[in-house]
Amino acid sequence: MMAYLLLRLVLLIVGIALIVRVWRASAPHAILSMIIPGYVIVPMVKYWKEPNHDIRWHVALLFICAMTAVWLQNKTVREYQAEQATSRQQLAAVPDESADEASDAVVDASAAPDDSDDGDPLHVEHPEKARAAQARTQIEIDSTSLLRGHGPLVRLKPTATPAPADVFASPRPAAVAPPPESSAPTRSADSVPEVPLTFARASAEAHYVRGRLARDSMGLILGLPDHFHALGSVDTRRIETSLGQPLDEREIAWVLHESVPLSDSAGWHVRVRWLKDGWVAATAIPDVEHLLRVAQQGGAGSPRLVGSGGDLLGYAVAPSFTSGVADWVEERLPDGAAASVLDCHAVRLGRTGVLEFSIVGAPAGSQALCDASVRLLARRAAVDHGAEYSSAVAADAVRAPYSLAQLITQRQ
Amino acid sequence: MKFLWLVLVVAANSALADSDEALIEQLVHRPVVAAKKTEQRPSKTDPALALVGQSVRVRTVDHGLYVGTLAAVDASAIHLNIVTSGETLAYALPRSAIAALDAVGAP
Repeated sequence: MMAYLLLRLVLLIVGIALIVRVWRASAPHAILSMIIPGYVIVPMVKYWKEPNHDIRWHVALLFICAMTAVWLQNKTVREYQAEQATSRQQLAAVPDESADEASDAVVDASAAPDDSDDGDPLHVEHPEKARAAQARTQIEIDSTSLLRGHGPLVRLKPTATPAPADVFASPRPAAVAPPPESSAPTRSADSVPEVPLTFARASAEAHYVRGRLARDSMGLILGLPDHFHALGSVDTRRIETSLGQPLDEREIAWVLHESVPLSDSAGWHVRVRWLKDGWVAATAIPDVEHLLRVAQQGGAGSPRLVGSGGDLLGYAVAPSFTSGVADWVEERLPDGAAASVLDCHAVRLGRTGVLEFSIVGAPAGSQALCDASVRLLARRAAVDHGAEYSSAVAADAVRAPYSLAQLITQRQ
Repeated sequence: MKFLWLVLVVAANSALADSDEALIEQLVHRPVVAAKKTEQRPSKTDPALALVGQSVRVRTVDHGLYVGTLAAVDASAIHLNIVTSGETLAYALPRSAIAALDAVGAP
């Protein structure tokens, strides 16, 4: 590792020296060398015979160092994979309770049976062991500070004054109920005397993933931005189970910002769900005002997207659709609530389904952060093994029983 | 001159960075600022006063959209009655969030 870092340092120094030499001859060449990969060949050839600006040895050194760095990196990855394989074998040797831990570890996707398997393991790259969160036994909800830095934008008063209620639809209840007699999978083989699965324990034992989270059997890849990390479905289900919440069969991950701990009462997270319903028509989206009016009619079966329920007041961010990704933010008044909340949605359309990113129950006024988060994740995700969404349906494609407009209005 | 070039390169790199990612980092780490409440009387020349009682469409600065009947107007907010499935909800939208307010039916 030290050798790798040293090489990167050498690369940086040589690169700076190269740019300086080229800069003395031509500033445009230096700039283009910095921003266009391979452009450095141009000044190298041009100034080959000029002793003051010749960079052939710099380029040669850069090339050698780069090759060595790549080799070292690959070697490190191979060692890491071998280490993971060994730990998997050790886990496989432990039956029963530890099976879930094995499935949550880095595993080869070929081991995954099929999409419908609830225990379908996640193929994780660049995993990071969770920094064990400071366990809290009492968690209180302050829905108005769900997303930091945002006070409520609006005040809402329903005509009929409802009783105040907790409108936070995230997994943290106002007060964590006594842990149910859980049949949830336990993570450790040495927990033979059954320890109740509490939220604190489930969140502390959760394994975070950085960089990329892939579910190969479904053809899904989540590209995680620098300051985000994710929890796989095994961990999210343990947490939901610890809170006594029903399991969501379509949920595949939660994505969190690194500065927002899972156990933080003001925390927020993006729920990622895969709706394998087929190709969704997105060609004819009516105008936003029409969408809003249709959506406000409500009451058309169970919603396909997660949300706060209640009544739709309006769009805090109106729906838009670009390059296979639609995003919007609904302002809703949940049933029995005194204040409105935001449900932020972004969906990436694929040939076989829809990948949904949702933040549920964010406080009013936080639409900018909320919308940017789900939109960024949707843009960086890939479905159907990276195949692009097409507005024309393939002959053999399965069609979803709803269009994009119907998905947005949840009127299907 | 060299400094100018350097600034241009840095600016170009910043522009190429993901704007959503930069926005998220900015908003996540933004300190909490308590909103100031100021009760003021509406201006007598407020064009929104002419729309009271009418069905209106409100576009917000965050590209949002609200539709309802304009019930009242004051200096800090407009008040809508929004009809949803089965009930009418009173809703206040701050003036600072409004980008455009027009009567439904207007282009």
